[in-house]
Amino acid sequence: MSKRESEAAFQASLAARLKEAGTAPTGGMHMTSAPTGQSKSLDQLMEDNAPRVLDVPAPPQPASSSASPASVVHDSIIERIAVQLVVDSPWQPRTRYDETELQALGQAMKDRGQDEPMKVRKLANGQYELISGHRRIRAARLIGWPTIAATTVQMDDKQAELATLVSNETHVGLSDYERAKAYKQALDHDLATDQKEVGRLFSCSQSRVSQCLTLYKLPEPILQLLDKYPDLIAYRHARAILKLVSEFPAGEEAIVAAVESMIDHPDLELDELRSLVEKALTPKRPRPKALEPRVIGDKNGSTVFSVKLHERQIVINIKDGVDVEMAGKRTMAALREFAQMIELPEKEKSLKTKT
Amino acid sequence: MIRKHKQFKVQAVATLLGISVDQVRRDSDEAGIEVERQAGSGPKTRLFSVENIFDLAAFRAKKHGTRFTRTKIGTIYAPKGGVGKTTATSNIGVTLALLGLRVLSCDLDFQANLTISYGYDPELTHDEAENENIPLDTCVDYHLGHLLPQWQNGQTLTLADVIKKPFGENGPHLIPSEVTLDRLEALFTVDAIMNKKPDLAIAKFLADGLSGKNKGIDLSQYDVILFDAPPAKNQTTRGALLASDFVVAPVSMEKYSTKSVSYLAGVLGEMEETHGKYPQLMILGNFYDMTRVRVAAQVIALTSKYPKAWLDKQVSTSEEFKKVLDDDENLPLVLARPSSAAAGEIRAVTKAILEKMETL
Repeated sequence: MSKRESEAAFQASLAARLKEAGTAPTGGMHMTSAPTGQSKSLDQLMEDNAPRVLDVPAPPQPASSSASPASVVHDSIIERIAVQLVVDSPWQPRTRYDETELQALGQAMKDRGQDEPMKVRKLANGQYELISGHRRIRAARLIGWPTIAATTVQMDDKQAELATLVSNETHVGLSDYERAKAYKQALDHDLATDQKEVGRLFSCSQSRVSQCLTLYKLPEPILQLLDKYPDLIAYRHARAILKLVSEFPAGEEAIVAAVESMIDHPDLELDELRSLVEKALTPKRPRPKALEPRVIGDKNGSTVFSVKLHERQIVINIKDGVDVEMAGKRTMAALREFAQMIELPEKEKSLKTKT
Repeated sequence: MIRKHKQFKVQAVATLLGISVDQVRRDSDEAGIEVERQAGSGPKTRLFSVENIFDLAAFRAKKHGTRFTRTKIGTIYAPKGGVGKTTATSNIGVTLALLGLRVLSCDLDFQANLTISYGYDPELTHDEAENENIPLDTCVDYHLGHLLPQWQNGQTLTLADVIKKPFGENGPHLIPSEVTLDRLEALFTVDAIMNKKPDLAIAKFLADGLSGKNKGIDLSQYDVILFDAPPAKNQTTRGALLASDFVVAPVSMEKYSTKSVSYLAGVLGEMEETHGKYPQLMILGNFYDMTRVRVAAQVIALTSKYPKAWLDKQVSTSEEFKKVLDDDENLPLVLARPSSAAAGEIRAVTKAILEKMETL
C-alpha cells in the first residue's frame, strides 16, 4: 500500500478490505458519542462557580445553613451528646450511604477531629433528631466515638424539615433523583413557590432544579424503580428516556425493561439504552416479497445483470463482457454482510445462490 | 543537567526547526547565538547545544510573531496504560517549543515518567546527589501539589520554585512530579466528601495563574500548557480535563484501546452535562501499522464514530522509541533522533494538533 495515497482513497481501500473479510466497521462494539455542544471558557467556568466555591468559606457559621426565609435559631448551644441518642431526620432525602466515603470521613475525623458540630433538635422523648450530620454520625459510629459535638436548636417540624432539606451537607453525592425528591418536597410543602426559589434555597441554579425535576416526568414504573434504586439513572438518562417515550408512545414496557436492565449494568450508555429499546420495539424486518424479475444496468443503462427470485433461489444472469469471477465475489461478499445482520432460529441456512 | 552534552550539526537543527540549512546559519548569526565550533584542523562546523536550538526557535518566533493570543490548555490522556501518553507529551511538548511556542508541561502522574523522560530523577535525594557528584537540579523537590492551596504545609511556593527547565529558558518548562503527588488525590477525595468541589481545583489554579490574580504563579507567559495525566480515572485527571481546551487521546492500535476512547467520550459528555465545559477530543493513532487489517478495523470504527476528533496524522510502530529508551540519552525521541521517520511523524502530528488548537 502506497503511503502517497490520499487519505480518502486509503480509507476506502481499508473499507473494501474489511468488507471482503466480512467485518462490519463498528460491528459488535458500542462506542459513546463525544459531546458536540459549545464548551464554556475557563473564565466562564470559574465565574459560574464563583459564588459558591470561591467566596463562601467551607465551614458555615452555626446558624447560617438555616438562614432561610424562616430563620429560627433560638438559644443554639454546642454540646457533646451521646451518639446513641441521635436519630435520623425523617426528612433527609438521602437513602443510602457510601461505606468507603464514611470510612474516609471517619478517618479524617479521627485525624483532625470534628471540623464543625452537627445540628440537631431535641425531641420530647429525650432523643436528638438530626438536621445536618447524617454522615458524620455514621462515621462517628464507625470509629466508635461515644459522643459527638452538636449544636442543639429549637425548631418546629416545618422549620426542621426545611433546614434538613437545604442543609448543604445533605447534598453531597446525592443522586439526581434524590435531589429531585428534595426539590419536589420543598415545592409540595410550600417551602418554596417556584423553581427559582428552590434554587435559592438549595444554592444551586434554577436550571439544575428543573433538570432534576425532569425525572418526575418519567413513567410511573420507572419512578417506582427509582424509589428502590435512586442512583439508577441521572438527568441525562431521563432526558434520553423521555425522548424514547415520545418516539415510542406504545413502548413503555420495553423502555421500562431497558431501564430495569441498568440495575445489573449501571454503566449502560445512552446509545446502548436506546438501541435496546429500539431492538425490542422495531418490528421484525418484513419478509421480502417475491422479487420480480429485474435488471441491473451499468452506468449507461445497458443491462449487466438480470435477477430472478424463485421460491428459495436467486438466479442472476450475467451479460457478456462482465467479469464473472468478480461478480461472484461481490455477490458473496454482499450475502456475507447480510448474513452477519441476521440470525436463523436453528434451522440450517437454506439460502442458495446461483450465478 | 545530567544528560550527556549532545550536540547538533546544522543539518539536524534545520530538520528540527523545519527550515533550510542556510536559514539556520543566517538566523543564528542574526540572533547572535554563541555556537560552539568543531575543534581540530578540519572545517569549523557549528555544533549547536539543545539550548541553542530552542533559543533559535524562540528568536525566530519573536521575529515572525507566532505567539498565541491566549494560552491553550491541553491534557494527554487515555484511561489505558502503555498507549504512549508520556512519550506523546514529552515529544509534542518539545516539538511545540521548537515551533517557537512557550510550553509548560505538567506531570500529573506520581510515577513521574514525564519528569524522568526530561532527564530528572525523582528518587534521588540531595545527599545522594552530593555524594555522587550529580547536579542538585536533577532531584525533584516539588510538584503541582505544592502550588495548590489544598497542600496544607503552610509553605507558599512560587512557580519559579517548582518548575524545571530541562532545555534552558526557551525550551519547554516542566512542573515535575514525584511519588508524594499521590497525596494530592487523597486531599481531593477529602475535599469531595466535604463538598468543596475538588474538580475545580486545577481550573482555579490555571484561571488565577492566567489572569494575574496569583502573583507568584504567572502562567500567562505560556502559549500552551500540557498536562500528562496518569491512566487512573481519578479526581486529578478529571480536574485537568475540565480545565483543558483540548484532550489528546493516544490510541494504541496494537492494544485494542478503542474502547477507552468511548469511555473518555462518556466522561466528556458528563462534563458537558455537569459543568457546560469540556475539552475538545483529539484522537491520536499511536504505534500504527496500517498494513494490518485489525488496525484498519479500529481506524474505520474510530473515524466513522469520531470523524472530527480523529487526527489525520499518526505515529507508526517504530523500533526507534525503544532504542531511545535504551540509549539513556534522556532526550525525547524528536531531539535524540531528529532525522528518524518517527520524529518526522511526531512533527506532523504536532502540526495537526496545532491546527486544531488554533481553532479553539
